[in-house]
Amino acid sequence: MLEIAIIEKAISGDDEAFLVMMGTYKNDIYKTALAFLKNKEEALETLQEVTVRAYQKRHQLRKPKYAKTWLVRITIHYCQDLCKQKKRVYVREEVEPDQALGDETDRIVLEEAISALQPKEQELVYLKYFHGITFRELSVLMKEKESTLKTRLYTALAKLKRELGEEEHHEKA
Amino acid sequence: MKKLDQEINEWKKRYDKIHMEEARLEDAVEFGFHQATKQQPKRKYKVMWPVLSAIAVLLLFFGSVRVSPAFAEKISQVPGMEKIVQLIQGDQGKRAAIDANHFQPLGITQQKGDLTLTVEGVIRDNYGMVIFYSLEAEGDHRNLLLKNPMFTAGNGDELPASSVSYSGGHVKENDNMRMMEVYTQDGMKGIEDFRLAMEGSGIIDGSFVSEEFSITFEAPNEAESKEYQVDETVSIEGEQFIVESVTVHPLRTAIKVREHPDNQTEMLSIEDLELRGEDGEVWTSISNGVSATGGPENDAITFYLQSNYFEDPKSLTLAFSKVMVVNPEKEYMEIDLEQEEIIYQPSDFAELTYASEATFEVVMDEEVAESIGFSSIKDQYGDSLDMASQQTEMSMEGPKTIYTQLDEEAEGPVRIEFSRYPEWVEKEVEINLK
Repeated sequence: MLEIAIIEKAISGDDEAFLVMMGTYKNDIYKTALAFLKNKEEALETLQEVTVRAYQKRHQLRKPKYAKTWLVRITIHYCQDLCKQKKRVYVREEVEPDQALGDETDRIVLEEAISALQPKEQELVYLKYFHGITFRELSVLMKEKESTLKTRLYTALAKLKRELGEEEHHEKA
Repeated sequence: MKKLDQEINEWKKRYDKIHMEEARLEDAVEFGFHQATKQQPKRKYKVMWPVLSAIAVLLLFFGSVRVSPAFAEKISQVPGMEKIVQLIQGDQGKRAAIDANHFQPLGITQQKGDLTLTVEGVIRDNYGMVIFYSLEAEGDHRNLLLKNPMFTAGNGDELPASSVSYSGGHVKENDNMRMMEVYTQDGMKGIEDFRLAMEGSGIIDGSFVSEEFSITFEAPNEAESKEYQVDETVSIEGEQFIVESVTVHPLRTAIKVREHPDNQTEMLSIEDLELRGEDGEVWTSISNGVSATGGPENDAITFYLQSNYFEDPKSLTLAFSKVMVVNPEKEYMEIDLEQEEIIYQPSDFAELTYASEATFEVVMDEEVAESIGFSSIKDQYGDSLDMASQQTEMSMEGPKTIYTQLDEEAEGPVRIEFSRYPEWVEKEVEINLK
């Protein structure tokens, strides 16, 4: 983890510290975006856009030790927005998934199921399982009770399970 | 849950294994940083409401293309014309303008370093201009971006009270044409020389490049507007609206509607305003650009529809049925930025997700998302607070997030007035113009 002092400097307007912070978390941002968008170029563009937004909103990061989660959340919100816009564009042009990601059925089913979740559920699945953020930290950042977040995550998991289960059923039939 | 846990774990691992060159990640951060630090906090342009969401820009690419033989010929004559046509697909008035030979091809280029900006051509009338321009780069390039466009008279003078809209800044090899629309309140009558300045940037051969462009060109006006004086009062659910005039400009049709001073509510918008021709043709609002000016603080709003100037129908009927209204005494929001809470809202549709001395973020429920917009923000003494920036994120289905940054810290709670509100008065109205 990055030193708190550097992040504090970044928040208070030190550009060099900001770049160090972004450099530390760029992989987390990129991977989150890639999992959402399934396209390397778009994931890179997202990293660029998240850098812009993080810079503009940097004074809003009140808890320096949660910098990574803060950046990942900006990424998730940006990607969710992009995905919703794309749903419409896809009518015309289906973006090819990156070949390197393989095409295993299970993964596709799971990813489809995750993308069909409610935005807030989706966000939790990513933060919890992709980045292993604690409920305590999420509770502080999202201003919601830990119990509320837990209930939401279990609802999401139940939905995913149902989707995966249904798929098994089809295979047997 | 065992199977699910395992699959989620594998899903995560798969992305952990994916490799991306460190240098490309660093470039993306660096480029974003350049973009953020160079971004000017304030444009000189006065942004007029309602400001459109990004969705509207995307919608542009849908809808059928009607291509006449004359139109097809124009396309073949001017290089890059297909791209221009794609940009205006959603606007039948602008297509008709090209059809009627009203597009002025220019093809003026300026090269700076490895970047070249070209002003491809314009369509104009006495009140507005649509400028088409493109960016090209030499060498190995990526992340090309056009930003901060500034459109003035040829001598650099600002155009009187302009409203400006322009399409997305990221440019790609096969998608490098952009357009900008500028409209003036007092007109650009008599002005024939113009200047378009903007900044182009990108990563070329591995390093960040940024260039300032400025292109001057001549484009005289060739078409006069047609005006219909109407002055008809319409009463809907006890509220009265005066349709004052309809002016058909080559680029758009302006319809001026005034609210009666005795009304209980303030008029915010008429969303289904349209003009009908004799054969059932319909001209509706402009889906990508400024759709109205004036309101909520003024007593008259000018609405803009796609132009039928070049189609020139024999008969013309103005029709609408729903007027969006708000009662400003009861329908507003009040937020205490210090305590981070919403003190008042007319019903429970908004959630405050962030607040500080000068910024706040509000998320609107999806049921009202499309029908909510902010106009002015005032402090506890009723003085308007200037906004440094406002960003709206919204999709067709989800909630809407409005992030607002004020120019300076507000003392005490702030009061937000609506530019859009989910309340309407309804009645079928038809007015014959000719």
